[in-house]
Amino acid sequence: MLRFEGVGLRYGTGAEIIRDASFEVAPQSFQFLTGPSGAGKTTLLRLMLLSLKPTGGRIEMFGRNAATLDAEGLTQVRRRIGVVFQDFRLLDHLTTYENVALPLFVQGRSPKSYRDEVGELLKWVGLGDKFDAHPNVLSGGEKQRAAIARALIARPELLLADEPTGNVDPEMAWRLLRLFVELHRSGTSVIIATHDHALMDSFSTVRRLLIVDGQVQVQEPLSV
Amino acid sequence: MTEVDPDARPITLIPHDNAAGRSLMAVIAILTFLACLCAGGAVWFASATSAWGFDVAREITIQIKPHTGADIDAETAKVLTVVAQSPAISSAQAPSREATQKMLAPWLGSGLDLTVLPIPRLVTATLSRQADAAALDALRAQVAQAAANATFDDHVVWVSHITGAGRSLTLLAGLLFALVVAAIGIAIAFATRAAMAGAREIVEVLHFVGASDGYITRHFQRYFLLVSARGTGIGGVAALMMFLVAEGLAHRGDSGDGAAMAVLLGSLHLPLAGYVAIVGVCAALVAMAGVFSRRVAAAQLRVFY
Repeated sequence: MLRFEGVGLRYGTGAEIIRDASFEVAPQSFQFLTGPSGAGKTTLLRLMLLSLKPTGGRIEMFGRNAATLDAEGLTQVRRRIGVVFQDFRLLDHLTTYENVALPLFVQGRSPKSYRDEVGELLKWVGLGDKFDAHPNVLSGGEKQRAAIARALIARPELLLADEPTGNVDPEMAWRLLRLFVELHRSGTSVIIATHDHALMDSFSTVRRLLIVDGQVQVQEPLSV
Repeated sequence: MTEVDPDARPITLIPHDNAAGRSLMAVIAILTFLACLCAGGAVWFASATSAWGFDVAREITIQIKPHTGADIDAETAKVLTVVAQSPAISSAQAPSREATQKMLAPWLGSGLDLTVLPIPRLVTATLSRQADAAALDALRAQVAQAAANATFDDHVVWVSHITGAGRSLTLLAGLLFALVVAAIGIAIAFATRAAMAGAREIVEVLHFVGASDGYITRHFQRYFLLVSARGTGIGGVAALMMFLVAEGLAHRGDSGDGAAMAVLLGSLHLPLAGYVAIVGVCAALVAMAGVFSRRVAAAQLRVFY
C-alpha cells in the first residue's frame, strides 16, 4: 500500500529532517508513528500525503511511483487517503456539517446522497447538536472530532492522523481510538502520529514507526 | 438537536460575502460604467458625425460677387435659373434684395441701400438624390458661364472637417474603451491572485480532501463570474440610465437646456446600436472575467504546488 525506499527530506540547504527512511505500510494494518516533539512526525505524514516532495529516495503509493504521478493521479491517490491534521484545518466559512461532507462533495456527490451518512457520523463523534455550528464556536475537542469525521466520511483505504487525541478528554480519546480500531478492522490502514506513551502502551500489539534523529525505526509487535 | 435540511444546499467552497469581493465588485461596476460610456459615446459620435455630414453635404451655396459693369440682379437670376434646372438640384432659392437687407440689418443698420455697397448675393440649393460628382462638376461649369464672379461652395472642406473631428472623437472613445477594458482585466487578474493567496489554506484543504486542480479552478472561476456579473450589471445599468436621462433632457422641449444642447451637440439620441453595444460590452466583460480568472487561478495553483 505504502512503501518508502531511502527517502530523505531537507528544507533548502538545511540539515535533513528525514534521512534514508525505508519502511512499508501493509493494507489493513495499524501503526503508531512516534518520536519526540520536533522529530519529524508531521513531516513524515506530509510525505505520505504527497504534499511534500522528497529530496531523495522513492515513495510508492497504492502501487504507483509518487514521483511520476500527474495532477489527476495525485488527486486519485489523495481520494484514497483520509487525513486528520494536528491543527484541524476546518474551513471557517463552512458549518460543521459542510466541513465533514466536503470530501464527498468534491467527489461530485449530490448533497442529498450523503445527508444521512454525514448526519450519522456526526452523531457518532458526539457532534449531533453542532451541525450548523461554524468552527469558530467549537471547542478544541469538538474541532478535533469534526476533523476526524471529515477524514473518515469517504471511507479511506489509508488514514493518517496527526495527534488525533491531543485535544480531547480521556473518555473521548478512547472513544476515538476505538473508532480508529473499528475502521482498521473494516479494512482501512491506520497511521496515528502521537507522543502519548500511555496511549501507545495500551495498544501493545500495535506496530510502531519510531523517528529518531531523522531516521525511521520499525518496531514490530509480538503479535498483531 | 439541529436537523439538517433534507434539500441541503451545495457547499460554497469560496466565501462569497467578503470585503475583497465587495471591493472588486465596486471596481468592476465603476470601470464597466466608464467602458459603457466610452462604447456608447463612440457609437453616438459616429452616428452624430454621419448625420451632421449628411445634412451639410446636401446643401450648396453660390456666392455672386458684384463687379464693375455687371448687373448683379440679372446674374443672380441667371444663376438661379441654371441651378434650378439642374437634375442635381431638388430646390433652389436666392434671397431677395429685401431679405438680404433684413439679414444684414443687425450689422449694418436699417434703411440700407445695397446698390451702393459691394455686397454679394447668394443662391442656396438642396441637392437631389440624383446628385453625383459628375452632375456637380457640370453644374459648377454652368454657374461659371452664367456669372463670371460666382463662387461655388459644396461645403466639402467643412464636411471633411466635421467628419475628421467626429472620427477623432470616435477613435478617442475607442481608445478609452480599450484602456478601461485593459484596467478591468488587470483588476480581475490581481484580484484572482489575491483571492487565491488569501484562500491558500482553503485550496490546501481542498487538495487534501481529493479536489482536483480543475475542480478548484472552476470554483474560483464561478466565484469571479458571479462577482463580475454583479459588477458589470450595476455599471451597465447605470450607463444605460445615463444615456436615457441625457436623451430625455435633450427632448424636454424646444427651449431651455435641451434646445441649447441640441444646437451645440446635435441630437443626443443614442441609436439602438449604442444600447446593443452597452449590453454587448457587459456580456463581453463577464466572459473576459471568466477566462482571466480561470487562467490566473490555474497558473496560481501551479505556483502553490
